[in-house]
Amino acid sequence: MKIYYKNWRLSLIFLFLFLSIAAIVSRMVYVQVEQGNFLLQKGNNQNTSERVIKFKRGSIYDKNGIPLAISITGFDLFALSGLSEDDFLKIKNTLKLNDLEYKSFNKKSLIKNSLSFEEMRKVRSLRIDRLELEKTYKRHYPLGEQVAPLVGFSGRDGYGLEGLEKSYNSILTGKPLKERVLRDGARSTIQRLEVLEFGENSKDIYLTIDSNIQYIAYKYLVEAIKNNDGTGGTVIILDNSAKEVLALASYPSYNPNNPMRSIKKNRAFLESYEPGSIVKPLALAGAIEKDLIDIDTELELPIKIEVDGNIINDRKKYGQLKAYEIIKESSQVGATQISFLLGAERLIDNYKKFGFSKPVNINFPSTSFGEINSRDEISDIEIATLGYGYGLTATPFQISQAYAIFANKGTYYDFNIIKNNESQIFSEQIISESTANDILFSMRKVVEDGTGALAKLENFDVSGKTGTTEKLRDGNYKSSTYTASFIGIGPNPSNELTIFVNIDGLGSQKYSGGSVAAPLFKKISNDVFSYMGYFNK
Amino acid sequence: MKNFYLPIIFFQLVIITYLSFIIVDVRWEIRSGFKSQEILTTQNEELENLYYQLLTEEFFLNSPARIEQKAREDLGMVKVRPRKIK
Repeated sequence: MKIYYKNWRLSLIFLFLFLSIAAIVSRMVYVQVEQGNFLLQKGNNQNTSERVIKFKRGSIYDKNGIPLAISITGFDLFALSGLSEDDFLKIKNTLKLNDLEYKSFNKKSLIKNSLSFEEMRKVRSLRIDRLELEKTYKRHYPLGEQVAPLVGFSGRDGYGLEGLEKSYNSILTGKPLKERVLRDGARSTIQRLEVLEFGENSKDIYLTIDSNIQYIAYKYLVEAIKNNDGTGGTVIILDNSAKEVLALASYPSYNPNNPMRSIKKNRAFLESYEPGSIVKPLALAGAIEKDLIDIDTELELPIKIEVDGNIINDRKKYGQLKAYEIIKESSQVGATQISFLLGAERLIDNYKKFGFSKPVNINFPSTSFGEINSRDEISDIEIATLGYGYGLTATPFQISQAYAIFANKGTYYDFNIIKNNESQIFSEQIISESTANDILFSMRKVVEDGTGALAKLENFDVSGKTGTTEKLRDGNYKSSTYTASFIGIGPNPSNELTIFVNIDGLGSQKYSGGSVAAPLFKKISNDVFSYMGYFNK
Repeated sequence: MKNFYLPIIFFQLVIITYLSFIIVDVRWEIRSGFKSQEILTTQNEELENLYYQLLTEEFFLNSPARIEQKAREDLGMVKVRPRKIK
């Protein structure tokens, strides 16, 4: 009986133990099998996280390595909720934030932005828990408004918003790396678990722009616009041998470092305008190329001619002028005769060959490419006006590239603005070398004693052409507003540079290409030629 | 039979414990590596800031405009006209 009693109690204990173990095992099975995935995920969520590594935005340099757009590393200091007044005062004294008063922080609040590295170290050394330092990159443009319409700017999020910053945004930002990492209790990364998305490092961009030449171009452009009461203008300098853009200044400009900047367009790519007499050499080149005329062919020019009831007249009666003298004197009547020699179709085709009404091969957020009046029933007066630069529009960049053809022995090239651009430069022989030389000869006469005499340099020979345009407003020519242009190629004989200048919005006092744009060209070319070492000491 | 399995279980436990310590150690090293990387990245960026500053200063000091201004105003020099090229 005693034994039976003992066995009964032992059996009960064993039963209890067995049930306990069974309960534990069944719970373990339940947790592992039924809830396993859920709990594993919950645990992973606590210890693992996705990490996105953004690369510092690439810089933009000029051809000599001068920074035009750089990202400066700084730190934003945030107070987290619960920051005590004592800790706040420590920060205030350390960073000398005299104007800042304590308030209870209920949420993450910015205390100071753009802390320097030194300030960041000082704050870290305070070892305050309820603080957070966030690394930020502030974009800085050392040359400011000189290159703003070209380089553009990027926003606080590091995304390019204007200019080349926008065009080359994907190269400059790279591609962020996404990965899953394991973190410890202090949220420090202790293991990289998997790469979710492979990144691509950001890259720097080197432009073909020379900052010193850009400075010269911008300085004289602003000076000329202010002296002549203009509203805007452009200077483009092309390196004909390297097929590169050396300077591209546009005014009005803006300070890209100022967050309250008001954006101004890049006139070189966007301001398509009726170029006026500046296209006369292009029409003459077309006529020579078609064997319709020689550079020395004499034409009888009345002081005025009537076309479709409209009078086209010259400043004076020239009588007989050789073809190159029509360019030298910028004769409207002569240009009209050349237009009629070519005829509408060949004249328009000729302009198209020179790159007019076609997009330029420059990766820029928005470019204009002008248009040519090429309707089927084109009238005689429209053909005549096409010959002296009305009825068609072109941007300063298109005009510059078109003139570079004469310096490059009749071959059209797409000019680069990015150094070491891997894409092949498009080129096409447009006119013969002899025609190109004929046009350069006639343009040299323009500067020697023609309409562009004020562009004549004491120490260098240059070829050039003036252009004056009445501005078209609401379908009418507003005679009180003019655009003055001048384009030059030099120094002869190497002809390595093409320099285009124009000033817009000129009043009726002084407005011609010869009196306003030519002197500007002279100043710029004189300094640029000297800077580039085109002289014997 | 019992005596045969016991050392194997013990040996396995020792290996598991050792590997656990190794895992902790490796993770500690990875953590330290990440920390060092962060410090080095910060140092690199600080040097980059300095580099940009010096580059800009060099450009400013070397710019022809500034040199000409110094030559004219401080040294009283006169610009020599270049000779005509042949």
